[in-house]
Amino acid sequence: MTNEQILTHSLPDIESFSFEKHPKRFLNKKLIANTLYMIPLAIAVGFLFYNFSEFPWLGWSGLGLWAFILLFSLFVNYKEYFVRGYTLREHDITYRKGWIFHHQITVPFNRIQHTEINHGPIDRLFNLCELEIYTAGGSSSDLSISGLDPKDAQNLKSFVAGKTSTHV
Amino acid sequence: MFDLSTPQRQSKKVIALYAFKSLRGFIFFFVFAAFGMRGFLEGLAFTGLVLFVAATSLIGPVIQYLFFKFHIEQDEFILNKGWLFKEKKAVPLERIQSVNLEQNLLQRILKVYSVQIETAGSKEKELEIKALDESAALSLKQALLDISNQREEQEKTEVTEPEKKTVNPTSNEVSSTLLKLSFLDLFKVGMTQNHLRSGGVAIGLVVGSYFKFQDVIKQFFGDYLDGWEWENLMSFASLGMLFSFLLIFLVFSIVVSLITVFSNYYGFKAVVYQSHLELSMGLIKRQEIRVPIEKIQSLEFRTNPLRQWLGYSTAYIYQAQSDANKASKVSIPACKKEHIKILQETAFKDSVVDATIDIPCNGFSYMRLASYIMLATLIPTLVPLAYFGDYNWVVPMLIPAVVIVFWSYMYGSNSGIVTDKGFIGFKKGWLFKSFSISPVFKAQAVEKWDSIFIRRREEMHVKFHTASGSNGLRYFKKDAVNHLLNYINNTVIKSNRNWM
Repeated sequence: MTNEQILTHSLPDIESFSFEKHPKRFLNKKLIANTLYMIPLAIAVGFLFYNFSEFPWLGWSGLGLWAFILLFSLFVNYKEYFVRGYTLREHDITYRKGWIFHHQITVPFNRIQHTEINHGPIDRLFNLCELEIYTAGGSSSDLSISGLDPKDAQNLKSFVAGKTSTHV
Repeated sequence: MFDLSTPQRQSKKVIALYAFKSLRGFIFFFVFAAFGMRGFLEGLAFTGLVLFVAATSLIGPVIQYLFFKFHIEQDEFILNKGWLFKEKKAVPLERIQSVNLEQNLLQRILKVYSVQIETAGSKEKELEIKALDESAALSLKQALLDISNQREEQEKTEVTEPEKKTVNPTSNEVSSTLLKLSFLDLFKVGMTQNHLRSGGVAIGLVVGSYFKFQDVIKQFFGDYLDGWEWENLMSFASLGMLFSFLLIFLVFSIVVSLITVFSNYYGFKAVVYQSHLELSMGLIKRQEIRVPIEKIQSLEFRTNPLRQWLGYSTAYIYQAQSDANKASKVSIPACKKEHIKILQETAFKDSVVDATIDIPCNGFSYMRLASYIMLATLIPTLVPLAYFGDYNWVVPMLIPAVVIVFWSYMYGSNSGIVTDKGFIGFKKGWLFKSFSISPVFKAQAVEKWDSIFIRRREEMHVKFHTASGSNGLRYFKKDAVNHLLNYINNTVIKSNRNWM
């Protein structure tokens, strides 16, 4: 049995090398979606200006807060893109994500129950899809790798499926 | 004998059960109708309504009884129910995880059992057959489990371990009693419950049902209640009154604790068989739970200062579970050290009882987090107080903050991970201690995480996922975490044992 060690603390460079990044479209999608999510809040700020015109500072501080939240979330999403990634080894799959809170989870193939590919409407617009990897029991150890190229996702899925069937 | 190859109905007594249930639903309706529509629907209309409701609540159960049928066909357990809305459920026998018998008060009076069939990994609620006579319930349970056990045995012998063929399915008869609780044991368990919680739950129940029956109560006692206000009560309040309230609350909580313990665990008995654990308990609602040993994912032992003094801890058995089915946590109260050992050996073939922590958490990091949270809440409240020169509240607010910070430090310094004999154990807590343990090969995934706040301190958090849920602790050295996760991961990859 071979399962060469990649993720040791002594080899941080290799660790960052070996993780496969998501396509650049995924970053675009995240940034655009993030901006879209902020629109309702912008309307609320406009409401502040309109309804409390005798207190202009209220509107301005609302606008400032809005701009801060927007820039901050865009910044976090931007940073997050570069630390998100997955890597396959002979016997397991590892996925990591998050910048402020960085998670790295490893699921051995012999514990995977089934896999699923999801396309959301926004995902389809950017030609992306999501690969869900399910383990048994509760949902705590399920992996969902979002923002994959459909072709890559299909390959990953069949690779993982092939591995699980040989183990069980 | 109960013949399962042809569709069978439940015991006829189930009609009474169904009728009782539907009548109970209508009682509220009647109460509200009687008070709300008094003088409005007097006479014929009201009588007609009552007759209609009575008729439906009598005919409904009969129909329900007639159309509720179940049997075993080939490898599936099939359940048909419903008249207008037909429902058919088919469960492959090998997917059946456990079969439990239960009796509530009414079922005890009628001398019938409810049979609950739990399946692995289904998001649905398990199947329930409401009423079967004892012999029928037992033979159904036996039939379902025999077939699913046999299948598992066969698979095991065929696929992985051919030398195990000598295992005799009838050796299930060999049993030993793990634990039997006497009246005194139960009393001790009741006295050492978390009284604060049971008191709180009881008060919540009282308040909740007050709001539910608010209207009815007001109808009867409205005159007295009108003069009663919280403000009046407050103006009478004094220190002596506060103490007597606390005393009443304490006594009340202890009584509630005792009652809950006795009603849940009366006649508790745990018996170990070859392939499963059998637990039976309950005063009013009698429960018989069967836990297949292979399905046990982790064991947890919790204790508190009082129980520690008596040498007791409560054991929790976690089985592979689906999201909806949280009931797969079974508890055994009043476990002594020897019981803990036997339980671990039964479930996992080995035991670690007095384990020492191999990978400790950093207590200071726990303390730091608690201090940040305390500061973030204290400053906005203390600054205005200081501004207005109101210093009386400073000390009462500081004391709990200091206690919480100190508690977090102690929690962190007493927590850590145990890796011993192929187990992974999480030791947690100070005073209120818990120790949960599972074999490493039962892991499904390992996770580590950190945040930008602790990244430069080279600390990481750990999460260990099994089919029964996740467990984790925080603030470990990064190197130790990497090492541990690799060890777990490699063990899982190498293992070809059945893990659920």
